[in-house]
Amino acid sequence: MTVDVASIGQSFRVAASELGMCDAAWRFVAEIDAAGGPALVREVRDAHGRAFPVLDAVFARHLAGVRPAVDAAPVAALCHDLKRLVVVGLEAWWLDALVAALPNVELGVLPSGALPGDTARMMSNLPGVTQVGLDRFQRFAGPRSALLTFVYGASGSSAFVLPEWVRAQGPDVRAQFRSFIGWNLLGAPAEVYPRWLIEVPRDQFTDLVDA
Amino acid sequence: MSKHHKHHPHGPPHKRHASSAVTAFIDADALGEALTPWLPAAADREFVLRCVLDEGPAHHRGSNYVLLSLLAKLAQRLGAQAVAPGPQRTFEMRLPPHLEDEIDERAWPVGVPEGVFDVVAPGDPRAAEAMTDCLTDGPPQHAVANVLMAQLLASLLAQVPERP
Repeated sequence: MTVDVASIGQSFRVAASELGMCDAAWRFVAEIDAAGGPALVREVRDAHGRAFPVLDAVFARHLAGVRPAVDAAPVAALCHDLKRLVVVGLEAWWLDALVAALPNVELGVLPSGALPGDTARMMSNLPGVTQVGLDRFQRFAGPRSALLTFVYGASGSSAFVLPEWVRAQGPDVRAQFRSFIGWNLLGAPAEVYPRWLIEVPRDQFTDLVDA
Repeated sequence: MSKHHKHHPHGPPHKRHASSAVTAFIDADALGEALTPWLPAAADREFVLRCVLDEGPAHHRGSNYVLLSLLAKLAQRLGAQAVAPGPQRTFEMRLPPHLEDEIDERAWPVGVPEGVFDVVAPGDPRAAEAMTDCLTDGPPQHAVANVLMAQLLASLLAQVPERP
């Protein structure tokens, strides 16, 4: 199979808009490795890593022998007595696992506008899950409600998140939801400038769980 | 310059401590344990304590801790370790007005003890309504702390006999 390295960025952008940046990066790296081995993985990372820091981090982890971990159990344990949960951002693998693990929790998803995709198509894969925007996500508020977002790397003091999270956990909202959960999909922060993402204090999460 | 604006000759009128010093004395676990009779569910307790001890300006967090700790200590010394008997009013969260009607579970896990109002203004339900509004309005770090203090005071009052 011939791989056009230059066009992968555009393909990745489309895939990431509907699957999530981390989900798409793991799928891409598996295909690229199958087509050209580690040399091609390194070439694609070198070409597109700075534009897509989550791709960069995932490709680096793949080259180091890491494979994606999709275990919703630790997050589900934090949500076991919740009535409602709003997930800020969309990462299809992890979200699918979470939906399956929380059959009794009313779920809302607030898609990111950073890489806008076809939300109708995305939500059709999540039956029973409600799409919400920044104007309506507080409909899920309450003493047995939580907000969750995907974290793309965290250090001792910082975490990297989608821009919508900054508003979603604002000062007015922090007393409307019981918990603020981060699900860290990447371990350490990205090696390249984290474009698409926002650095926030780690301690704004009541719980930060490594995937 | 009026005399009220003169600085004291031995130093500034109000030394401001660093935020870290203001909140360094907060021991949320200790206060949580002391408040267990009023907030028996651990998840509710953590949520309420986060709102009064971790959110808002540092001086409010510190003040909430000091006053709640003192009341809890007094309640412990007097054996007031239960929610006071009598009706409780639902204490609702502040939510965006355009969504209020769509949220079915919006009450804080601690209510307002109605008995305290009868102590302040006996037999005056209108005053009780107004006092409830005062205690529960404003930023959550104020309102939630107000209601918790009212709970502790109600329990304390229930332990202390009225004097003629």
